[in-house]
Amino acid sequence: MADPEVQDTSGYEEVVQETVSDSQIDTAPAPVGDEDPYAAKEQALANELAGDGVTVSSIETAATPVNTEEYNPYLDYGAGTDVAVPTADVKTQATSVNSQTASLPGGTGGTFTGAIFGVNAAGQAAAQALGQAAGGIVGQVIQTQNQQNNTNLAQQPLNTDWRVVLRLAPNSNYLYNAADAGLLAPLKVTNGVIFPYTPSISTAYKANYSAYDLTHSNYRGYFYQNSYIDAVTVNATFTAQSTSDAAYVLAVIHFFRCVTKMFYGQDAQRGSPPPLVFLSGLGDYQFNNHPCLVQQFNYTLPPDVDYISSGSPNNLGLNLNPLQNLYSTTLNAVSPTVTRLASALLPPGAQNILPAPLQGLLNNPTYVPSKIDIVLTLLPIQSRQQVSQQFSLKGFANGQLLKGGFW
Amino acid sequence: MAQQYTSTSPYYLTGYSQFFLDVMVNRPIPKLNGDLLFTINTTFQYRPDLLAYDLYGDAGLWWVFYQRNPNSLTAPPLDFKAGTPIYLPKLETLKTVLGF
Repeated sequence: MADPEVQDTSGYEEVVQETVSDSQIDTAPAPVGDEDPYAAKEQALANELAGDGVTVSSIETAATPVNTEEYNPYLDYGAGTDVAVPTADVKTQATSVNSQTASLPGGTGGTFTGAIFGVNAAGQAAAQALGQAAGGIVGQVIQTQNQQNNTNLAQQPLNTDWRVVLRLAPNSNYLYNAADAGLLAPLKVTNGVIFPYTPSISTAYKANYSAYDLTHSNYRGYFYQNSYIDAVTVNATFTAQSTSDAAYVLAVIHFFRCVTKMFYGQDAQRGSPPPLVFLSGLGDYQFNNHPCLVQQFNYTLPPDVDYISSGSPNNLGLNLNPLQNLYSTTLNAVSPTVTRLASALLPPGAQNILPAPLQGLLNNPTYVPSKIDIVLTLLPIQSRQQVSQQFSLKGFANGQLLKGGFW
Repeated sequence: MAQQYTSTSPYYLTGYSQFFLDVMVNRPIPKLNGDLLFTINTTFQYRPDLLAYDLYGDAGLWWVFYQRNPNSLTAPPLDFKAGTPIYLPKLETLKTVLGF
């Protein structure tokens, strides 16, 4: 009886070992025609190393797989990536490299950089940290400077009022400084015309030269004749958002009408020419009470803007007469207190006195445009005494005369 | 004992013993209808002393704004911000109440 077939329950498949006969083993030498080009070098190297106790078997001769793609030094292969470099490109001698040029953009891979350029990782990290620290310091300095600038800007209104303003003479008693200023009363509060928006001011300093033409000469000669400041043109914008603003704009328009007229007839100063005005603004070295005359005043009442009544004295229900009295006596030497209170429309002592309405305007309101552009032509004036006794080019050049109102 | 604080000081009525101030005695400022309503502008922001100097001629009266406006001004001077409406006591009122 045949043995029963036993089922394999071990879970392992049976491995059939293939047997190879001796005749199937290739014992023939390798073909000589395909000679290894490195064999001779390896043999020479083996012979050389044999003298140092190194056996040929200890030399690793396994071939490293070489990428077929050519190595591109401008690609970042990343640290630790084995880059196959053709043997011909490998230099076995060190080349002196300027360390300053070590950080070429897109240089060799990270693993090579330190070794080739002689910069260790710690040095690189220190340089990087130093660079970051320097950048941080520069950033902090710029931030501090910006903060300081913001602080200065915020403090500017407290330090000085650099708005452009056109005033009468300090001790004058006419126009808005008269006892009964009437329409010009709003200008008494601000001691002149304050330009609410920075005006365009055109100034021209000129020198006259007379030309003379020499006979049989290739060039023209010049005689100096004189120097002067040409007419100053001021383009300004005024707006009115309220009846008090309208009253101010009306006063401005009327003031410039007045300063083009002479004192005549019933005036106490009859016979006097139109008054001088003094231009200030933008700091001491721009316009600092520069005397001038109003030669021309142009304004156009536009048809395409709203018109506002200047019927009430002010919008806050304040009586500005105490302010006017105060400013008329103290504005000749404008104190910061007066300037601050005037800008805040606050009366001294916080006295809330009921307004005294301007009856004329209340009964017959006058309308002014909510936006108006005016053009002034000013003639710079310097008295003969100032020119002969105070002027010097040295003083003008160092700015002292500029602060003193010299054109 | 000699008086240590002037009549314009908030501590004028507060007792003083040896080197220590007693519990502070409040000096309220009356709320009158005629007090001027003023909205703090950037010029006087954080500067009640400047406003007091400009209005009353004494920077030491800065605290009267806080006494007059206890609901809107509580933490001097950083709540003295632009845009905050406050009432300004008149100089005559201060002279009467504070006695200077």
